[in-house]
Amino acid sequence: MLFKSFSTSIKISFLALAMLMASIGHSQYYVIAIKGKVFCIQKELNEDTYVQLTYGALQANGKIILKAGAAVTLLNEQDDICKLTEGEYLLEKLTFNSHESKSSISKIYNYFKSFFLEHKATESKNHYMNKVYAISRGEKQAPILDFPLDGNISMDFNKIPFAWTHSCDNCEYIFTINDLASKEIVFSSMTTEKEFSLENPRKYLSENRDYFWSVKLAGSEHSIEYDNRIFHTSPYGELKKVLSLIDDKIKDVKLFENDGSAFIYTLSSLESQGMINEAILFGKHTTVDSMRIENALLENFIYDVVAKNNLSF
Amino acid sequence: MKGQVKHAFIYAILSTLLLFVLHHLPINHIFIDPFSEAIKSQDVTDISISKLRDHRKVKFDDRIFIINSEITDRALVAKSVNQLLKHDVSAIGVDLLFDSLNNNYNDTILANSLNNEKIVLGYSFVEHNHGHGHSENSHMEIKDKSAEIFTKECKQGYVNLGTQDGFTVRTFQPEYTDKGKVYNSFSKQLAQMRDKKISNIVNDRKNKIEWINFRRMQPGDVNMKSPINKNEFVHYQMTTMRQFVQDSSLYAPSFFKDKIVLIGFCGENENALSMKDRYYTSLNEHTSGRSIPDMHGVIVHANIISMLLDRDFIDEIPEKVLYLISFLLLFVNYFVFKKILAKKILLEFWAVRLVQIIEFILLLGLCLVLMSAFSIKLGFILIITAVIMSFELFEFYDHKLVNYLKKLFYKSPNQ
Repeated sequence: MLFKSFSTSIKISFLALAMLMASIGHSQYYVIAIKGKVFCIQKELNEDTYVQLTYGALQANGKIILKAGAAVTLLNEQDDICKLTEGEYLLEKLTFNSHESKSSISKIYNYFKSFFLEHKATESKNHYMNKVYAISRGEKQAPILDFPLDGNISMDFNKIPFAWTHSCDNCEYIFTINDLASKEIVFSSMTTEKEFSLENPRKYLSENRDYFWSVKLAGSEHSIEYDNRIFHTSPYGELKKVLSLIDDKIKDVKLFENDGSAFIYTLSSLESQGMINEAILFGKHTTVDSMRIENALLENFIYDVVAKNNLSF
Repeated sequence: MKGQVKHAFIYAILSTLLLFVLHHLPINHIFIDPFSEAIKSQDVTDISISKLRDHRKVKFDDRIFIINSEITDRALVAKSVNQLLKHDVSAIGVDLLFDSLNNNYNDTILANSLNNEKIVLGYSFVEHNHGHGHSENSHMEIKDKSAEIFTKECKQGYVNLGTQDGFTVRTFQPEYTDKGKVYNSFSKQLAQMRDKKISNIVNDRKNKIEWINFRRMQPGDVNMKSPINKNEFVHYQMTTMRQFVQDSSLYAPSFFKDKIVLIGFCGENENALSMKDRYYTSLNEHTSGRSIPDMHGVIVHANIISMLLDRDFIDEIPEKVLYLISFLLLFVNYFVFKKILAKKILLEFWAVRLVQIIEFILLLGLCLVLMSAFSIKLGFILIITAVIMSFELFEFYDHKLVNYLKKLFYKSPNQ
C-alpha cells in the first residue's frame, strides 16, 4: 500500500515535471543516478513545486535538496557529468565536468606529460608494496540468481532472459524451471554461460501458474545449498493492455517519446503495478532513438528497484 | 697526466652527483633511464632467473607438498586436513579464506580440523602509508581474514606479496611490525615451523624486504606450456584435493614426515588454466612484451619457503657501491674518450659509441652472471645510465666546464 502510494506520488511528480519541461524551452539536465532521498524544487509560474526527484529530464531552474547519505548524478546536454552529495544546490549554478578531454591535442599533451610523472623503477625495493593478496576462496559457491526477480512474468514476451552471477571461469550449469505445485521439471538446459534465454516461453509455461527456477553446477559432487526463485506467469495479452493504458496517459499529457520521459514513466507505472520483471523486460526490449539515455535510465531503474526491495542483482 | 687525473676525478665526481640528483628526483626517469622505460615492468633479474638459470639443475623440493584445493567445499578441506594431521607433518599452510559462515555442520567440522597448532591460515592486509614507499609510519589494516571460529587455536600468516606494478611479484616482507607487534608472513611462519633457526636468520639479514629467489616452476600438466613451463620441469609435487582424499591411505606412513603441506588454489580442475590468484614472476618465460601470469599464489609461497629453508637469499649490492662503480666507470671513460679524441681517428664519434656499447654488453653480462650464478643483484640501471651519459657529460665538461674551472682553480689539462 505504502509502495503504491509512493509510486503514485512519483508518477504525479513526474507528470508535473514533464509538463513543465514541455512548456518552456530551457536547457535540460537528465537525472541518471539517484541514491537515497532527493527532492527537487522547481519554479512554476511564481510558485514552487516540491517533488521527489526521479529519473529523466529536469529543467535547469530550481533547486535540488539531497538528504543525508543521498547522491545524484546529472547529465547536461553536452554529456557532461555533475555528481552531487548531501546538501542543497541551485540547478542553474551547477558545475558539470567533462568525462574526458575531447581534444586530440590535449590527449597527446597529457600523454607526453605522463613522461614526467614519477615512474616506479623495478630495481628499488622501496617501490615494492604489499599489494598482491596471494590467497583465494576455494569453496564452490552456489550461483546467485539475478533475473527474473520473484514476482510476475508476462507471457507477452517472445523470450525471457534468465541471468545469474557466479565466480567461476569454466563451470557448466544446469538451468531448470520447475512447476511449483508438482515440483516437476518443465524445462532444463545445460550451459557454460551465466545467462539463458528461454525462447518461446509459452511452449513450456502455462499462463497464470507458479514456477520456480534454479541454476546448479554440473558435475558437482559437493553439498551446496542452491537458491531458487519463484515467478508467476501472467496471461498473454495482459501486458499489452497495461502498456496501452500507459500510452494513452502519455498521449494525454503530451509527453515526448524521445527524451526518456515516456520511457521512465512507463517503467514507473509498471513498477507501481507490481510488474517489476515486466518493466525491466520492457526496458530491454524497447528500442528508441536516444539509446544512450534509455540504457542509463534502465540501468538506474534496475538499481533503484533492487535497492528498494533489498535484492541482490 | 697529473692534470688529466685531476680533471677525470672532478668530471667523475660531478657526473656522479648529477646521477644522484636525477636518480632521486620524483619524476619519470625516461631521459636518464631509457633502458628501464623501454622495458617497463621488466627487471634484469627476470632475464637471469628465467633465461640463464638451468632449471634442470634445480633440485626437486620434497620438503613441500602441494594440494590444489580446486573449487572445493569445507567438508573436503576438513577431511584433507584431518588426513594430513594423522601423519607427522611439520606444518599445514591453508592458503584459502573462510571468511563467511554458513552456520551448518560443515563449519563445525572445519573449525574442529583447523584449530590445531600445526595449521597456518592465510590472511591479507592493506598497508596504509604516510608518504611514498615503505616508511616507519606505515600501518596495516586487515583486509580478508577467516572467521574467528576457524582461527582460535591455529597460527596465522599474511599472504601479501610485494609488487611494484600491481601484478608482478618479486619481493616479500618476512615480517611486518605494526604498533610494536610483529606479524609473520605466511611463508615465514610455515618455514620456521620446520626450521626454528629461520627467524634468527631473517632477523640477522636486517632486510625489511627480501627479493624472492624464484627457482621452482609452476607444477601441473596444464601449465606445461610457454610462457609458464614449456620445458615441463617438475620441482614440486602437487595433487588435487579430491585425489588426495581418495588416495590418502595409499601414501607410505613416512611420506609426509616433516613435510610442509600447502593447500591452495591452482585451478578449478586439473585441466583449467585458471587466472585466479595467479601472478607474473621472474620465472615467466616471456621477459618482455605481453604474456600471461605464470604462477599461482600458493606456488609463490612454496618458492619463498624453499628459499628460506635453503638460505638461498638474493643479496643486493648496496646503492653506495653502485655510485662508486658509476664513479669508476666515469673516471675510466674520461681517459678513454680523451685518448680516442686525441688520436683524431676516422669516425671518432662512432668509436666512442662502440666503446659504450662494449661497456653496456659487459655490464649487462656481469649483472646477469652475478644474479644467475651467485644470486647477487647488481643494480643495472644506475651504472648503465652512467655509461650512456658519460660521453655527453664528458663533452660538456671538456668543452664548457673545464674552461670555467681553469679560470677558477687549475691550469689547462693539456699543459
